[in-house]
Amino acid sequence: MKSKLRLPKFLQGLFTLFEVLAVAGTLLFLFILSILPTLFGSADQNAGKNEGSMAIGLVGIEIPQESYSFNYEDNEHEGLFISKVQGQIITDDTVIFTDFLKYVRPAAVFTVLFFGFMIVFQCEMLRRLFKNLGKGIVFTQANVRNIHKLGIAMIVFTIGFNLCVDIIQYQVNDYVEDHIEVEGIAFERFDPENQMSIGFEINDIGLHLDIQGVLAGLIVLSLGEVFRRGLQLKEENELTI
Amino acid sequence: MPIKVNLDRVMAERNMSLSELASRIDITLANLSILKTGKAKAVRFSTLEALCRELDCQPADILEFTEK
Repeated sequence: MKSKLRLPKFLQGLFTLFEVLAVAGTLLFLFILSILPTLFGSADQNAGKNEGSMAIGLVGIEIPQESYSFNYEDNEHEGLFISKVQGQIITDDTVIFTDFLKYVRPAAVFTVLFFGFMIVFQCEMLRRLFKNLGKGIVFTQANVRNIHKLGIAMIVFTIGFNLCVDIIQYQVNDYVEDHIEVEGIAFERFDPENQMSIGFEINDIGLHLDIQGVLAGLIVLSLGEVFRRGLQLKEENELTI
Repeated sequence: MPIKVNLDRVMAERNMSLSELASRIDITLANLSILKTGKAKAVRFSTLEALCRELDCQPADILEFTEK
């Protein structure tokens, strides 16, 4: 019997470790987000030099090989039009970097806090579940509640995190489109294509939903219902004289 | 629950204590107490048979259906 209880105890310890790591990771990300602008100097000091659209001092654009295709269908643009380019914009201009951080920081802080809280919450539910299993307590009201909370948290986490990523993506696109100009290059919105997601667009805001995450949450909720029925049967069995 | 257990009345009529009945029908005092207080969800035929035999009564004397 003791050997059977080793796995739940191991998993309980593992999820405790995940909780600690999630808290530490969240705090680390928040710390990095708070100190990054100060590392690169204040944007306000150089604000006078950059009014309106920002000019980039030193720019390098890395375009991975075969990551682009040519599109001649757009009649609004003259000359060569390249679409679906995936790459990186590299600049030494710290003003752009700090300004960009200020622009996306509220959404990034919220995303980090949301991500951290949800991970800690889900790990805590799993830790409690395996703690009870380790003690040999299986069909109890507490376990049913924990499984239900876990399932709902998984669905909320998937929807919430997808929403956060879409908002940040929108802000990044918005910033690049409005603030960065390089002669001869026009930056347009980039919409990543997720294979296992469904989504739609409202006024340039793309909203996507990871189906796998929602399905996993629904499976856990179903498992909670199985546990609830198991608890009912156990109670009935105990109260049959 | 609309099924009422009249075990306490039948026991009082026979002057039989809970512990004595429990030992006679070979179930625990705790389980018999659950049955007597109406907390039980189900009664096995074997338990009902033992109760009727020891208390010399019919199942209808112990169990009663009442509309709520």
